[in-house]
Amino acid sequence: MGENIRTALSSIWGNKVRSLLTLLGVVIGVTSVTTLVAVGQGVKNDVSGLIEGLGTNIITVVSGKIDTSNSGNTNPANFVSGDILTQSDVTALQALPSLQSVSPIALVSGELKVGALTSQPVLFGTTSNIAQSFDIIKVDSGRIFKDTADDQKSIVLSSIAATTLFPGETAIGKQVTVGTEVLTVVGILSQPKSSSLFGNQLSTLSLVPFNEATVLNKGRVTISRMYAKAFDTQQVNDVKRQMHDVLLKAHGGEENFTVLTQDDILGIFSQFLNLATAMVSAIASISLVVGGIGIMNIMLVTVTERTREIGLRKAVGATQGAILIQFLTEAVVVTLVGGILGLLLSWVIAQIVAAQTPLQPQFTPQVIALAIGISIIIGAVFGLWPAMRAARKDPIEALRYE
Amino acid sequence: MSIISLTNVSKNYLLDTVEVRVLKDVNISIKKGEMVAIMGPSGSGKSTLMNMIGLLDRPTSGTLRLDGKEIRLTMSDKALAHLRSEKIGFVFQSFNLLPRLTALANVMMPASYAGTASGVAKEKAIEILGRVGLKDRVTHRPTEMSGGERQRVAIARALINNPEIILADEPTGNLDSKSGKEVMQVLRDLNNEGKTIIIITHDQTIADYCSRTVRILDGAVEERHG
Ligand SMILES: Nc1ncnc2c1ncn2[C@@H]1O[C@H](COP(=O)(O)OP(=O)(O)O)[C@@H](O)[C@H]1O
Ligand SMILES: [Mg+2]
Repeated sequence: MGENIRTALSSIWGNKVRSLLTLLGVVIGVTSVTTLVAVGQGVKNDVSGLIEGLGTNIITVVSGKIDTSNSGNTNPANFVSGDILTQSDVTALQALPSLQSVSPIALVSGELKVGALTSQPVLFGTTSNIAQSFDIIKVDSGRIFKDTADDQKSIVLSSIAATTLFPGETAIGKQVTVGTEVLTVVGILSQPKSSSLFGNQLSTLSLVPFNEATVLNKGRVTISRMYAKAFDTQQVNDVKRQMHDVLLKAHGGEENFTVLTQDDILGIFSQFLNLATAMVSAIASISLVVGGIGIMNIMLVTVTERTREIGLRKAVGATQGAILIQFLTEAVVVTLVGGILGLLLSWVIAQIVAAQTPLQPQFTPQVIALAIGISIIIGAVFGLWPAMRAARKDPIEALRYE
Repeated sequence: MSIISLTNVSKNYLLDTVEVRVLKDVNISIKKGEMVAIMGPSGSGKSTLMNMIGLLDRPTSGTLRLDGKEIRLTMSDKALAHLRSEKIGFVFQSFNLLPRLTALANVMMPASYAGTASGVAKEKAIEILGRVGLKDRVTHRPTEMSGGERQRVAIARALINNPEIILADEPTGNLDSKSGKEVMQVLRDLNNEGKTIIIITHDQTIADYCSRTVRILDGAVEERHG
């Protein structure tokens, strides 16, 4: 076996250009599959990290009907539709004793300005209980706004916005312009540290009172989602059902909203991720098959070139099985080299992706095992037929071969 | 008792649709420790006979016995491979060394098929290479050696599993007369140590090293003692 591996490596080394061309398919296939899976793992990691950071007793209500039962026909457009949830829904939910707090969220677009300085925020219009509903939102200094009319012209800045707009000075008490509105900074949020992919978004999160959001959105009251927090972590699914029933009644029996636990959200992400993985894997597997055919071709050439060697080995006592294993090992070593190259290439790509994008690909042991496993299988499957041809050669004819 | 015995052995080949009789009722008996030359014109069936004795080929009819054991037509490839590995060492006209491997690795190669541990095989291979006068060529590759040296590596390879029978098909056919003589001297020494040796040759001076000559003409054996 050791000798077989050495023979394989030396024949790869002896025909560098040919080997490289042969390996290209396998390298590309393994690179794409491992990069994809590593990115997927990174995203999954991120999402579960985020959800853990948010707390598992948070329940989200979004407008539109989302099918969370793994059948995969979720329409992402439903996430952004905005005039189905109403203020009375919030009130109805707040009446539920199992809920600690319910916060409506209105998305506001616009930039923050102080003189010539600007900052692009994720701007939420919400109520003062948001910090209760959402563990990740913490006031670092100052306070959250009150829900009263006299505190409506207030804003709570992200720590990033605060340092961008007020470099070297305290932001609290100062004024910020959003659109045509001038708002007073009452508090600064602490920098969330949870997730890299969503951290970017969360780290620029600034908050204005819900009614102020309506003003900024030119009078349109749009609740794009609601965050509710259950008292009991163990009973989120019960609470979810209660919320669903309350909302269904409030919407006159029309199910144009979805109540999601953190597990549901994770499930939806997994669905998307699995779909994307399946699609790219299908493309990658084409290159693996092409690579495999390349290996088969090169192994058939090798077997023919080494006909005399096969005859000799049989003459000195090699059984058919020994010859079969020899050439199968060679094919597997070749694809394994391709797989390792692919893995290295994919690692390099992952470093670039990690540096240039919020994605953080994860090279878990499973990803490495997948790359190694794929290469071994490709080598074994596509090396079998050439190895069988080698094993079945008649020793006398093989020895006479020129 | 004879170590090799062929009784009424015939071999037919199917050429297109015509059956060609390459060996015709051959009867040969070779005793342990004999050194036998097989001579005959090209195409007379010498190599076919040797392949039969070396278990690379099976007779169409007749009986072949090695060491008293009848080689049955029904024996599996695996069983034949094991017998070959245990009892027979081949030496070819064209050496058939693997060009990528050193002399040492070439000599060790059959040991792996006999299940010998590589450490043991290595020691043995070095010892045998010394015996055929190639102590200084252990790490050389075939391309770095003369024809005579290559053939001695091939002989060392034939000896690694310590077989009782050495089959050499025109071992000096590709060598100049000086190298040929050296190779024959090695085979002669092995015979003196008790190996049974069968050599196919065209060359009477080679046959003169042997105690017995078997002549083949058109697939039939005629024997002359000398
Ligand atoms: N596989 C085969 N199929 C058909 N004919 C063969 C085959 N092998 C050998 N022969 C024929 O058998 C005869 C004897 O061959 P061989 O034993 O190689 O002769 P030698 O070694 O005496 O020169 C030749 O005529 C050869 O063409
Ligand atoms: Mg011949």
